[in-house]
Amino acid sequence: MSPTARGEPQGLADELAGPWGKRHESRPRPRHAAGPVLGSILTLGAWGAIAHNSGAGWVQALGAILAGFLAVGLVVPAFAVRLARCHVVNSPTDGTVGEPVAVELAVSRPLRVRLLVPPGPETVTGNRSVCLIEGRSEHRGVMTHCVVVVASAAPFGLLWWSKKVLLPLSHPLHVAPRRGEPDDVNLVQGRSAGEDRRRVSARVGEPRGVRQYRPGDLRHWVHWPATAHTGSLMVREMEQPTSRPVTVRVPLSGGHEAAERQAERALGTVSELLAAGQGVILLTGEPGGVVSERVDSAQQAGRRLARAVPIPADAGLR
Amino acid sequence: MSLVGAVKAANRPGPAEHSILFRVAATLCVVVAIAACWSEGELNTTFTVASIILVIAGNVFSYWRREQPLPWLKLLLALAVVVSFFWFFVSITKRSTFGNLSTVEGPLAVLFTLIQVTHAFDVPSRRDLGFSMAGSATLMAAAAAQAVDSTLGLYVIVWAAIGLVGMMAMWSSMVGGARLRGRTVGLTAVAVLVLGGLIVALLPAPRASSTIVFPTSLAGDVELPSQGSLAGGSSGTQPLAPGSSAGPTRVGGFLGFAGPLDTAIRGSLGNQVVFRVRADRPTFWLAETFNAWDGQSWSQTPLRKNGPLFQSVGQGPPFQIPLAQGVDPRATVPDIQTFYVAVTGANLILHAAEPTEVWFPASSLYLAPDDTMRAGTSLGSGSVYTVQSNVATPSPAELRSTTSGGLFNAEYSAYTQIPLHRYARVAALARRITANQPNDYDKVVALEAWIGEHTKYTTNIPALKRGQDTVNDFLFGTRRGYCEQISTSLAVMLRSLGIPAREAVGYVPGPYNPLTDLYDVQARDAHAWVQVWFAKYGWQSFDPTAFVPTANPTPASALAHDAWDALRKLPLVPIAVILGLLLAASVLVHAWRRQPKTWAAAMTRQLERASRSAGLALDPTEPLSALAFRLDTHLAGRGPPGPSALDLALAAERAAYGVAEPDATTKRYLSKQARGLRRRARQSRAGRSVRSAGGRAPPRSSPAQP
Repeated sequence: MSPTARGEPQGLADELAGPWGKRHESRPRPRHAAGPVLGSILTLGAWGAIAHNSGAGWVQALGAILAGFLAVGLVVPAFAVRLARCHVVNSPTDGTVGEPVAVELAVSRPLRVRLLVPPGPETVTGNRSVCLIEGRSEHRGVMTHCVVVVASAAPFGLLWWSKKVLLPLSHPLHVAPRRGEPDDVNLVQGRSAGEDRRRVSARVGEPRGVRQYRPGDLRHWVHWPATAHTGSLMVREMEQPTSRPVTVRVPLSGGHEAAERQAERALGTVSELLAAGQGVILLTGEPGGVVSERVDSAQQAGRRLARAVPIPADAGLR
Repeated sequence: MSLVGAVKAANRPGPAEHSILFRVAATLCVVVAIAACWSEGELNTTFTVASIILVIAGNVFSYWRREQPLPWLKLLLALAVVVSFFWFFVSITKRSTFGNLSTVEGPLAVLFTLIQVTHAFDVPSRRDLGFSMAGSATLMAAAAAQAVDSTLGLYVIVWAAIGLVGMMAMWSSMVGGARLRGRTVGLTAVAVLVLGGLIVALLPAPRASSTIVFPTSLAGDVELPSQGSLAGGSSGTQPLAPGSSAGPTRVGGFLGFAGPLDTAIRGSLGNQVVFRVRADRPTFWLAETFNAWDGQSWSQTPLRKNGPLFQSVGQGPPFQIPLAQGVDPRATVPDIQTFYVAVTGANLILHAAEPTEVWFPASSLYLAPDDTMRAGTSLGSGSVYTVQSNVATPSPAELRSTTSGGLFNAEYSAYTQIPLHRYARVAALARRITANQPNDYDKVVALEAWIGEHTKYTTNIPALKRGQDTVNDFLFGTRRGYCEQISTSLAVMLRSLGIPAREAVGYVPGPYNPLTDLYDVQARDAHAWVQVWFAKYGWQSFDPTAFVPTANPTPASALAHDAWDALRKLPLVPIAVILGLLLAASVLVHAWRRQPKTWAAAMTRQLERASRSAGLALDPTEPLSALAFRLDTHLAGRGPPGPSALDLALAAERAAYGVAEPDATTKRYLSKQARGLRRRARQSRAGRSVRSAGGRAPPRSSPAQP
């Protein structure tokens, strides 16, 4: 299962109407039951053989007590899990692919819990009624629910039973893509180094003065009178076009993995641009259509990219 | 993963276990199991004490070194285990009999204990402690295999209770140290007990495999001076004789078995367990039979003139007993009984029906022609022997189709002998009762039925005078008596009809103990009944006194019966007092736990009570000050002016949230004010006599828990 842009893990929505029913939780299932069950059968079988060969009623009575212990230990956890209740007390609003997010979970009894979506390590609750569980999302998206695996082996710890519970998060969790290598770094003024492949228009901005030539400066920028006057190569210095933000288009074309990489690069690019003081307009596709809006922070860009879907060929701007 | 890798992974030490409760419970389980083995005589006292000390010391050491186990210690412990196994094999090679499990169980218990002691020094992790608990179960099994009475029950209860707490502590440790709640522990214990009880009730009683060598042992045995003599009593060696009469009813005369059976003397029988029997099916445990009747006493006489009464039986064990002439082996089934002597008594070898083999650990055994068997030694408490019998269980139809013929003349004469001149009325009565009965079996049944209808069972009968005839007195006089009078009357009536019959004495099966799978035969189970000869099937028992069940009782019914018996014997008054004290203590503890732990919480409670007294409904989400404001508003204008609830609530909230804690004097003053407020609220409500519609509302969280 992976989160979709609509906020629900893939396949989970189908399951909600199916086997999980209205409870939004699966039936308790035993985990690694073969070992404990076979061990119990073998133990009781051996015990029965001893009782038979010794003919001693006490051996049989002890075996019955042992069987009682084993039966309780193997079956009661199913009820403990079935009756276990939990809900999300607090959850973060933002996350990043591969980075841990902590969800605050309230539980009704001592359990082992772990996030299945997004996946995370198992945590024991101990005596606490509220515990923190961590998960790392492997895909970007917006999650309104999480799936928690609740496990118990109460009261003896012989066999673990678990169930999956679909829990609404306290806030939608925007899982932003990782920050990838930025594209088109020479878009950022002041960072051009001549060796860049793409150039911006030479007529961008208004002349502010002259300065020493730096490798990469365009030939058109050379200010010959000043050069003649100073004896060294001088070029015009332009005002930054701050009022015109850069538009970063994120089409998310290609397959799923390619789209993920594009989103990562887009976030890297936007972050670089924002760090350089450049205004950025992010053009992304969303379930409601194409959105082209200015972003002011990497967090905002991350949320947009979390929601982003491939832009259809015939999509119009919103 | 390769096999070696898998083995390494399986043996990789787990994380250190820090739960002290789990460790203590695991240690105690082992200690109790060792003590259980000691109680069953499998371990001697010195070894037991040393083992318990070492197990405790080992577990303390393991807890101390749980974070850093010593690698060289493992090697040392492994060496100790190897030595233990070596000792075990040497021991069973020397002492044990092939196929005889009972000779292995002692060394096995010692081996298990040695392993537990060794293991105790290397139990750093949870898994190791789990192994300790499982190991204690094997020790308990070793003890249980030897248990023949209910003493082990105490150890089982303690072991199971500690095991339950231990396993729950293990679970608690698995989930990060969750607190064990008494209610959860109690419910789990009930679940285990119910399931265990159901399994005990549903499972058939275990039966010893017939392929092993049967257990035998002699305790306190002394070779008897006279061969085939009957001895017993407290020391087991003095000759047994009929008791002397005492008192008007002659109670106290019969204290065991004797050569003659004097029906004029009644036994004084207690409920002491005299022996226990493990048997395939319940039946009469036959001790002696008598053929000669003189009007007041039964005695054994040689069937042939000048012949010996008792003859030595070949070599044994096992001693082979020939099947009686006239009995068809194909009409019988084998039945094995093992007798565990609990009280030193007569040297009679008890058995069921026709004995064929006797496993008795002595060189001599004596047999009378009527199948009465006597040991050549005394039988002390703790002696064990096993008898295989051939039991014929013909149906009524089969018995109707046969006759009481087939005996040799001498035998027939011996078993039909009665002083006829004395029993003319008896013979006439018997003929009248059986006039319409076509066969011997129906005659026996008709006579039994007549006795059942016309006589009363009681042990409180007047003493029989010397020279008075037991049967005539019973049938034509008092018609009251107990097993001896009843069975003797039947035997005499049958003999008067020419049907061979003899008096048999021994024990009824006794109460069945499903936990030990043994019949606990008590002294009061001593009984007398009649045996009638039928061709092909041999001597068949008829009990005109009581009904003898023909099948094993179900464990459930036996358990319920035993439980009811035990319940009736309980000292109810002390138990009620103890339960009452426990209940009172529980109530006090509960009340103490519910007591507010801070001054702010106490004030909150007072204000809530005052609000309830005033008839206000409580809202758990409402701040205390808001509730106090409502209370002030409610009380305004009702009765004399009093303290402001809002002031009190604000003081409580300031204290709860750490803003300002009032000094002790102020606290006392404010608490007094709160109590006064409650009184005022109660008075205001009484004055109104109107009940608030809200009723009792749920308690609100205290500001003492911000």
